[in-house]
Amino acid sequence: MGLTNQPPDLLPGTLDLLILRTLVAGELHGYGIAERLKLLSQDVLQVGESSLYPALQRLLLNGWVKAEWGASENNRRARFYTLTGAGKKRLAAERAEFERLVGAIQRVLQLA
Amino acid sequence: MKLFRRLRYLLHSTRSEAELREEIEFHRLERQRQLVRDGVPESDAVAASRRALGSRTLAREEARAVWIWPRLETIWQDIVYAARGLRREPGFTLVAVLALGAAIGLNTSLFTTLNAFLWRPWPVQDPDRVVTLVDQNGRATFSLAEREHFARYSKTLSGLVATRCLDGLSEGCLLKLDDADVRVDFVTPNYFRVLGISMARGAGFSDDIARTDTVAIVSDRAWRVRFAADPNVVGRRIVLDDVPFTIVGVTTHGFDGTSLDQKELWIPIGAMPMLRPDYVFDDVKRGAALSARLADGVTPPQAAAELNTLSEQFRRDHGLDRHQVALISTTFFPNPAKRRNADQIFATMFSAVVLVLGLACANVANLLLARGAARRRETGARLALGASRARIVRQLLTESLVLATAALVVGLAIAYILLLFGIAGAVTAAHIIRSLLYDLSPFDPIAYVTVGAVLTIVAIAATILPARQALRIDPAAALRAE
Repeated sequence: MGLTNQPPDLLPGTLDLLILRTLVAGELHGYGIAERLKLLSQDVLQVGESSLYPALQRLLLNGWVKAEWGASENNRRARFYTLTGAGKKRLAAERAEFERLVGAIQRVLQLA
Repeated sequence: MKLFRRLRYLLHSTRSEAELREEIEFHRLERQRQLVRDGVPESDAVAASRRALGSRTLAREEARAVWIWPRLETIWQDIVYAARGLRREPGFTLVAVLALGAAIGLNTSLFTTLNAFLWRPWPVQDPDRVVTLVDQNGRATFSLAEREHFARYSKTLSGLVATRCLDGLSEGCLLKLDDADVRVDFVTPNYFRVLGISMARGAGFSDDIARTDTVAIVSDRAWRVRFAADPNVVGRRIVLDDVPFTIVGVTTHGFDGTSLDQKELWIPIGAMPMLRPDYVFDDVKRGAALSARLADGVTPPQAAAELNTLSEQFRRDHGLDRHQVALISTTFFPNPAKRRNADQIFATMFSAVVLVLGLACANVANLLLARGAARRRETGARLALGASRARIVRQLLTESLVLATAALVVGLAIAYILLLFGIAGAVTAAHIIRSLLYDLSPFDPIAYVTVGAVLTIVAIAATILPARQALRIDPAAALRAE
């Protein structure tokens, strides 16, 4: 469980952070999240169902997002995810942690 | 909160999984539409969207796994690991399992016996208010005539019943029913009303049964065993010692009389001369066991004082020796001395086997402790590799529980054999022992559940010391040693 389904180029836990970030602007369904990630990363991050949906379930379990069924842009039934209060706090914390980590990695790379 | 969400998911797991499937299918459809928009032919788009980026089944499985307790898996790992460890040390395992198993076997068999014997439920209404009359020697030296006297003049009793057998109080209560012996009690017709025993079938005895009425009441147990639970048993004629009787009732479930052995039939005391025409029944001299229900608000000493006065009067009028009337609480043991003896014997046996179990546990805890000391390196290595201390303690606890479960299987087998032999032995033993153990079956679920619960506690207790020992291990020191 866990690590094997992360896209190989992502650090563990980063997918959760990215999903939370895509939801800041408003509710999205699963496909929408995948498309947004692909668009914003200029096609670098192509997230498959087998990592996206477990990640969404994990976020639901932790109470960071909540899900509601609604109609998609072409009127199909879709499950939309929204950020909860706890999710916003989590995003801020994860983001700070990620930036700290990336900064550290960059410092090492520059010095080595 | 997390626990609540997890439970809600698992409770609605069918719906939750259907939603997940729908959601993933929606995802595929959206991608298919996108492919078509990008110019891929419709038929290719379906296949391509299916193929794209990972298996949907895997996605579903992984998504579901998020909700399931991660512990379940590791608990299974612990059990497998523990079983492997125990197999690797057959000597230790054999000694521990046999020691615990023997102790459990003894305890279970004794507990089963106790449960069948001492704590048998008694369906008498307000049994606290029912007393048995005895003399200063704890014996029932009363007569039917004395009972009549008490019943007529007593103000402290709300009901007084007499029971007796053909030849004395407890011997000779056997009559022939179709060549089989049945245990019969001769009772005053008010017996069931005073004790508050209702009839499951039939009307029972009326209080004004004539001397020539040959009616009988059957116990629920005898109804099942001897009459094959015949729904039309009431009104049926049976022949007891060549005298025809009519069944007028079946008692409520669980009532087997007020004496030590199990009664199957009750006959009005007045019918005795019908069965033994050649006997001379002297109501003044022949004994009867008396039980009474105290009137509301009357204490046993008040009733005893009144009965002593009445008894003195009666005995003087009939030229009999005086005797002291005492009231004792009615149990299965009409004779308090017998009850005390039985209690003492059982208490002694019980403390002995509990001691055996305690010793076995102490031994096993000792073995576990020695094993823990020998496994310092292993534990140290696991700690060094990042196992949490809680995980180590859980591993030890699992090992104890696996050991205890193996011992439980052995122990229950021993108990079963002991009880089987015990029952077989009792059948050939004296009549009284046989009747005492009538409710004893080699499988008593209450006893087995109780012993299982005790064993779990024991397993946890036996882990405390080894766990403390393991928690003190310093991984660095343990790995440096040797």
